Amino acid sequence: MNHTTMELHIKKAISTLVPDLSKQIWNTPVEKATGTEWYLDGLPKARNKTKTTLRIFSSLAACLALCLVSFLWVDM
Amino acid sequence: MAYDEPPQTEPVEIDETLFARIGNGEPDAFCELYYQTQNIIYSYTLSLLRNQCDAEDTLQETYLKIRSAAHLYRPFGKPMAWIFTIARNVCLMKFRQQKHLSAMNIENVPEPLDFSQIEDREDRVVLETAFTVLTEEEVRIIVLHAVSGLKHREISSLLELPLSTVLSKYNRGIKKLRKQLEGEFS
Repeated sequence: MNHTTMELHIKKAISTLVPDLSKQIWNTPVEKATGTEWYLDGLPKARNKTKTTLRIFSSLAACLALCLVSFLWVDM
Repeated sequence: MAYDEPPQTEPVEIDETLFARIGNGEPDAFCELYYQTQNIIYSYTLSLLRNQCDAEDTLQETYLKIRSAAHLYRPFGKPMAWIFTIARNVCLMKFRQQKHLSAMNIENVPEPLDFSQIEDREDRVVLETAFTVLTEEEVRIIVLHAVSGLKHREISSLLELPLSTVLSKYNRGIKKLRKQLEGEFS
């Protein structure tokens, strides 16, 4: 028996064991996750768009202020 | 060591928009994802827990968690990795619960694996032999490779193992399985 045949037997065997729970699972009420649940450990966290935008704008504003101060300093 | 790549099983390609649709409450999207991935997730949980009842419970729990968190999914090109992380976390929680029960001296004897419901004799013998003679990691790698059609590189990434380890364990496991089955079917 070669490895391809063995893998085919394993695949067929597993498919006969798996129960069809799709309807049962769909009919079970679930709460929407907030993103901090234990089962989401290790997953990339979704970034908060508002926070990211605010951070970018505040960095830009700081840069602009620094440039202005430098310009005025040289000019004086 | 020889590197064999059986081309039998087509790898699963999951449409990443399914998660948003599941999050919006579309049962068709959930069924599509479930039927595409159920065998892979079941084989993974069975190889980790080595108990059919626990594997079924964990399968159900994993998909309930997927439903809960589907709206948080952001397409990043690796939907299987996202599902596997949830399945692994659910399995780890199951392990913790079992450990807690045994620490409290509550009898929690795992039932032995019973594959009698597999009608085809050859299918049954091959799976039984795999779970009997192979180590946990060898079973996990071989069963995942057989069921999912994922490449060894993808399996190494999902199981967080070096590719060289996956390849050596796969080849060693296949040799052991072949040797054992030669006796069974001769």
